[in-house]
Amino acid sequence: MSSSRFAFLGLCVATALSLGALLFATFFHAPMAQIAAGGFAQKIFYFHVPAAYAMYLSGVVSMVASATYLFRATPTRDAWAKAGAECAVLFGAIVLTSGPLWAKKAWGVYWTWDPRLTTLLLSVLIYTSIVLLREFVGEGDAERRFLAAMGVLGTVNLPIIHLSVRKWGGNHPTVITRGGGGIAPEMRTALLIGFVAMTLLAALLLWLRVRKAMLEHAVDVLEHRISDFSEE
Amino acid sequence: MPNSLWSVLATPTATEVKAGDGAASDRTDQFVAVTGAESEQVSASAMVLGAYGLFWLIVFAMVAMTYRSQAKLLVRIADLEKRLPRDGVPS
Repeated sequence: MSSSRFAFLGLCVATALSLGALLFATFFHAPMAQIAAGGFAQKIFYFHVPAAYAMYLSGVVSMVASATYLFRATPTRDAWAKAGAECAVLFGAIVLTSGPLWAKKAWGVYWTWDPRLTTLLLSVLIYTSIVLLREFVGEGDAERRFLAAMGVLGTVNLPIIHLSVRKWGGNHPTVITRGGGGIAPEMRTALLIGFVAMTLLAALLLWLRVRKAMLEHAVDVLEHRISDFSEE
Repeated sequence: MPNSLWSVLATPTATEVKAGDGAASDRTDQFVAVTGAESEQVSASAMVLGAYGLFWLIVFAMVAMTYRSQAKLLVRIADLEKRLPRDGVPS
């Protein structure tokens, strides 16, 4: 077995174990929160917040790969930029579906135009546009560079999401701050497991999507070689 | 329609939330462990089940789609490699 395959299987096992541990910690270790925080629905918090963090992580991966691609274009950097944007959309979708279900219990509505919700939606739309454009625009260098620039600029919104709730208020809870009231120790343990699980899940999904992008590149190269030969 | 389902689908009234009124001092700044749950109109279990269900659905859909695409690409690569000329002679 190659070292790459061994590492991939190890990542799969670690991700599965951590997600199992997250479920256990959420439902059997963390106590129920007060009704104002959603009561039992607050259990969504343990993967909702880590999923948002995984979205930031994927966005940063896309930004770094895109920025390096602008300096020196390589298929690997393009693959990482593409995979980062795709994973950012995936984790953004998780946040945008889990959040409203929790909000319905905690706030009484599925959605409000709260600053953090609005800026998060904006970021998800930016990454969705990058993913869609990658599917529909041509394979030329100019298009790739344009999308790389979008990948860099799209990530600028991520710190705005993070700071929006402090700068502009809103309904969003602020439990993970130096000044906030914080969370109970058992809740903190479950949340930390959530962060580990989502980091591993993000790494696994990035790995899969990068491999897919590299296989697509290999197909393009082979098609060009056959096409060149046919023209000769 | 069952009451629990209706309560999930029902449009919220204006008094349920004051969107945009969230002054920093009014926001929840802590999660406190409590014993004994109060009665609730909307089923929290349904919300949690829905959220976790969607999470697993999204993740498994992504993994399944990626594996399917990779399998197709590997077949395509194998096919193209067979057609690739070797020593100037198409195979």
